[in-house]
Amino acid sequence: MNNNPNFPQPMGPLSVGNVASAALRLYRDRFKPYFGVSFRASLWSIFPFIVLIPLAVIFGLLAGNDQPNVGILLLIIPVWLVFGTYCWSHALKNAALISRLAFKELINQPETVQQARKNISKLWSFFWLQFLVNLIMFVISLLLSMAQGLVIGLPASLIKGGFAAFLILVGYLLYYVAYFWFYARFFISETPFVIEENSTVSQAIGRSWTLTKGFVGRILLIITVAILITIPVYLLALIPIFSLIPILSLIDQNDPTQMMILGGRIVFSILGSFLLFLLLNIAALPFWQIVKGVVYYDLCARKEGLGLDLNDSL
Amino acid sequence: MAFFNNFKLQTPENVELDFTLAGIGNRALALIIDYSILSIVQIFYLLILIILPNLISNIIANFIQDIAAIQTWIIAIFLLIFFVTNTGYFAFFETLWQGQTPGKRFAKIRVIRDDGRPIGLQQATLRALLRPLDDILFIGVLLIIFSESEKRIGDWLAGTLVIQEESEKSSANFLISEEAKTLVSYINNTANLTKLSPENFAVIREYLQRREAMLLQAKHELSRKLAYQVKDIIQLAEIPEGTTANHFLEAVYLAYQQQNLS
Repeated sequence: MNNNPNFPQPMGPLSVGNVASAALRLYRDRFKPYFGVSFRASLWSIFPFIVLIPLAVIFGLLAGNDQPNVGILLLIIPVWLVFGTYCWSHALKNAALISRLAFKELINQPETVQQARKNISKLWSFFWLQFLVNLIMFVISLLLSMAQGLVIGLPASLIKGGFAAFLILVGYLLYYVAYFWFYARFFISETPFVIEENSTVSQAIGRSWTLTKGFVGRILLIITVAILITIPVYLLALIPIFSLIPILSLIDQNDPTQMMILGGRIVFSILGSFLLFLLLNIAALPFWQIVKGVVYYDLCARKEGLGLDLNDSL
Repeated sequence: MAFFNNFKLQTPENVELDFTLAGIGNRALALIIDYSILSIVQIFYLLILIILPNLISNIIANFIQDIAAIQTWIIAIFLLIFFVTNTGYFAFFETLWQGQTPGKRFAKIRVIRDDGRPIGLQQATLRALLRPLDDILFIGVLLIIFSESEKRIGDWLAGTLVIQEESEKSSANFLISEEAKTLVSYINNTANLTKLSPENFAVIREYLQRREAMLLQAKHELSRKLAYQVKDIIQLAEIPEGTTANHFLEAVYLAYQQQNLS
């Protein structure tokens, strides 16, 4: 029934590849608004660091007056942290906003950026949610490495030799398998939070946990496919560094001035690559956020029958 | 909004065929799987390459003096085997499996000729030989993303398209309870099933197909919602007491099917 274009119906569950294709297609069709939101998110996320520059200058000037004032430093740090949290909440909220826009597009209830913004009143909780998810993943990785050390590292250190090396390799492999298994379970935590009205932070994390159950393999495959698709974009960031290669062979290594110039160029190329990388990141962010929106849609369709409605199918 | 590119094809017999193109996601997935398989094969080769040269050169050394040259030869032969495996893998499978490799089979996509016919050895080989060119700096990925017909260089030159396999609408593979079967005649007698459109029926069928994978709570709520909607559509005064929403939907499904068969 979904194949008939005369009856535009909800798409229903998607295959792994189609999740990525649909996400990219959505991004292409809505490039301007999504890129705009992504640009805002990125600005918010670097804002606290930009503010650090004048702060450092002021502090340096004060310290230059022979009065190293610890009191001011103690005041500045918490204020900066609060300010940073505020900015990063904005960044996370903007990023999550893209997932919401994509999801709404998929369920045929498209929103404009302004409408979506109006419908999300939460701000600080975005930081809190990200903080919690990171904390959970940190604790998990800590526990996993402890288990890895006890179960595999310890016996391996006793037997030594080739088999021990093999055991250690297997240990690392198991560690990463387990880590990414958990990673997939929390992959869409912020997505229900930004889409479902009245969702609390813990409900959103719980929802990611429930919905992803049994679909870890799919999610990891989707992530792998998405990485492969974004690689060409990130490769562009290497252009300044690669542009050094033809120069390298022309440089006379015994000439100090030429070496100085080369050093300068290397610094500039790395800086250029870094800036380019940041810019490309702004372009890649919406794609990842859309993928999350599509994954959420797909899981809702599979586990809750989202889109199955007789009133829509007239 | 269309999420997937379509491709219309006019056959000489004036039949219009409608294909959904594979899309970058499915093609990337197929590539990941095929390259993983190839990597495993090549790691195996590499292990042989490390062990064999000394062995072989020791044997051959009995006949020929210049051992270093022999080792170079062996490495050269292995490089050739690498190349043949890499190219041959795709050409072999795409020819044998009518445009599919193990990766493409997994991703449910297939290579066909521009005119809709299955590809042959010639197209498969051309695609395989041009693959390295497409892989350089991911040119192929960019071409697939940005061209309307999703063709990489190999596809342009070989005159091929990569399409999604028509997912056969699998025949109903869900169980229908005994309770539902006893309800069928009641529904046939008291409800107006003609009000139920084929699209309505499709939604019910889709629900029954997919319900097993759903969360309990969601399944419960959805079945109730759908049951009430169906009840209104087919103008049924009341559902017999003790009937669950799931049984009712199953019964409507059966009744509708029977009515359309008779």
